[in-house]
Amino acid sequence: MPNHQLLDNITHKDLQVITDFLPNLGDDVSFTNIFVSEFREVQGLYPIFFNKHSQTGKFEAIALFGFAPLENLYLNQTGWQASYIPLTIRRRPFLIGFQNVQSEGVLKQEPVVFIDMDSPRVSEFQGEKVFLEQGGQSDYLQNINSILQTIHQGHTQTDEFIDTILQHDLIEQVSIKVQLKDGSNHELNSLYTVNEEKVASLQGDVLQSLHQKGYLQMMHMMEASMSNLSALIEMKNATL
Amino acid sequence: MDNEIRKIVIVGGGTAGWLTAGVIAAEHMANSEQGVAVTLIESPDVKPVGVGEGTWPTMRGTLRKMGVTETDFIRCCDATFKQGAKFAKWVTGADDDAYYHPLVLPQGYEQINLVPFWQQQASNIPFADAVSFQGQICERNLAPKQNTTPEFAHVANYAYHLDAGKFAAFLQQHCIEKLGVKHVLDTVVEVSSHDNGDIRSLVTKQHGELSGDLFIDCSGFHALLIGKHYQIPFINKKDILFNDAALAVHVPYLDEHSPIASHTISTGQSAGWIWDIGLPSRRGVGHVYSSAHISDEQAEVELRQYIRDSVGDKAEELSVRKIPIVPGHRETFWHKNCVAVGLSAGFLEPLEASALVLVELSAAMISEQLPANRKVMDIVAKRFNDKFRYRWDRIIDFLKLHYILTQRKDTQYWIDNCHIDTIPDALTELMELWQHHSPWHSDFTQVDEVFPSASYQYVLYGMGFKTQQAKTERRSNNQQLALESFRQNQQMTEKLLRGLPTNRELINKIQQYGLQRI
Repeated sequence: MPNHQLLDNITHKDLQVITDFLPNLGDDVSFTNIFVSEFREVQGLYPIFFNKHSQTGKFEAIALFGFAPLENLYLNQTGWQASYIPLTIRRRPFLIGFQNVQSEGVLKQEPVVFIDMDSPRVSEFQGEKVFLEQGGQSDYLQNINSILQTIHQGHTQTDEFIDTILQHDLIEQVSIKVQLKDGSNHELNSLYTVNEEKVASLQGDVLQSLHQKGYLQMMHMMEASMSNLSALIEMKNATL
Repeated sequence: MDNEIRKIVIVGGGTAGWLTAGVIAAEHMANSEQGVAVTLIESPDVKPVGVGEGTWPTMRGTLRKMGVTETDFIRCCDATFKQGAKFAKWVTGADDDAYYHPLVLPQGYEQINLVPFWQQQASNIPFADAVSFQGQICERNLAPKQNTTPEFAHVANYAYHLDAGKFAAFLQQHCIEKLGVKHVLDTVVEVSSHDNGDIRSLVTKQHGELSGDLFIDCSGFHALLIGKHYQIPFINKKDILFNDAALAVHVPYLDEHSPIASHTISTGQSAGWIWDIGLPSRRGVGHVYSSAHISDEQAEVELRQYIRDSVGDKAEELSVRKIPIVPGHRETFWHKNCVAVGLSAGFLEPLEASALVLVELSAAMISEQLPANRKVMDIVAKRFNDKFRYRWDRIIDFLKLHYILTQRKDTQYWIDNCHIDTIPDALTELMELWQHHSPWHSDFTQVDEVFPSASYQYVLYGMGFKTQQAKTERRSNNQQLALESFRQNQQMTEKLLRGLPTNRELINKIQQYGLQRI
């Protein structure tokens, strides 16, 4: 169970965070939520799909790392074997929370930083220091802040992208069937992607507006990212 | 006489009127110049009856065809999921007397009739549980789908419970804003006729004459056109179905986390039965009874006693509304250029929620077979009348079946219900057949039968009926397939009990996040 605490430089003054990526640090996940702002980096390395969030049932974009729960084929005992790691992995063990703040008589929700104190990354004797001796923010924490900021904006931008292409009926369910060299079959059924035919037949104002928003490019990047599936299968075969 | 049908006028702004308007307007493109114009006239003085709170699974298709999203529908109509009905105290009247009529078909129903196998090998398990998973889902107040299941799609087949008043308002808005239905708020004062007896127009108080090519009477019990104007006789069915009054009440939940039942609970009383329907914000409860067997006062006492079990003393404060019922239907439903849909066509009783489904079926047939011109209208009308007379008869048989299988002898109501003179001949004949054959696909003649043979199975064997099958062997008696089907059903049951959220949880999620279309 996560133990979320509001981060502050008194309670957490000696806090250190392990920044390696390893299976026993909770990085053995088979996918993670990604944002349109990182599609460009992600699409060269991981297959991008849509997935329905288990709590809300709403679509989110994900990068796929494996074919079974807790299978991350990019991860081994020496670390994460890829040049780009998505923001929602890198943010750990920090997360954004919202706090009611009163400013000039108006109640507002402001983003604040929380930390999961039960995360295996949390330590007092190894890893990156979060606060400086005098209580100031370390470079590491400043970097985390900027990641969380990007995630916060990423949610809104990505939701807009998904809502728009949903309205134009451009998302379809896909079934990914994989046969491995040992003859075993794996099937992923709850994934969605862009409907390439419909995207190709877009015309006129709709085409224009999707292009202007950059959404056409996003969809093409998703299509292109499918080539990473064969790399993923190879990595899986290599483990057999 | 060969003029085209270009303009349809619907009288009545209740659920029947707006559903019919929506079905026809969506298919016949009322919002386009080239389509059929649909006008609905609603009297500002008449309040809709508004207690039809249970639908059939067909409603999902009906709503989808009208272009409604399930998320909007659930949010605006206070709708919840309904997966069938639980009948309590219909067999012996004892506290543990209950059975389910679920909406899913028995396992493997396309290939195998499991009744004989169940009777031989599994009769210690209730029939519904042996052949379907849905009773178990209902028993735990679980939803028929997950929040990741697309709109209108199901994991377990489902219908809806809804707030009838809100449903009519929701349909009205959709019909007017999206489907191009013209709405006239006015009172009809006179019907003006052509020489051949067709209706030419309806004369209104403020909007003058509204002319049309086809008129649909959705005016409820008033039956303005089919009854008052055309004097089409009403066939009273009280000799078969005794219930002629209902007392309805809204019952609050104890708190916002109280479970919402995902089935209609129908509980036998001394001279009728009580319906209990769970909406997100309240329950709709009502006692429907035979006034020949119980006084209104006593019926109200029984109703309040029932409510007391869940809300205690509050039961005495809730206000009860009486609704008279004349069980029966018109002799014909489509006469000249006028067709009756909804209560104007008839009403039997709330059992098995047959009212709204008849509206859907009527609207669907009118829409699908909408006569191209006046010349062919009489042919369509005859087909419509034949089909719906058949449907009313089958519904009457099926409703009556619930009463004649009782073993209750504690009141005259249940005893009288089993009297042979009160049972339609067709049903008596079927009962004789079922002594030796369990209900199966070809027992009924229509491809689009209102109640499938599976429903008869659920009621018959839920109520303890015994069929003495022939003892000779049959090639199609596939023992292995039967065992496999029972096993599959058990697996499905376990899987769904683990994976489905509660009805309350799913409704809350839909209120907050909505469902996806795909």
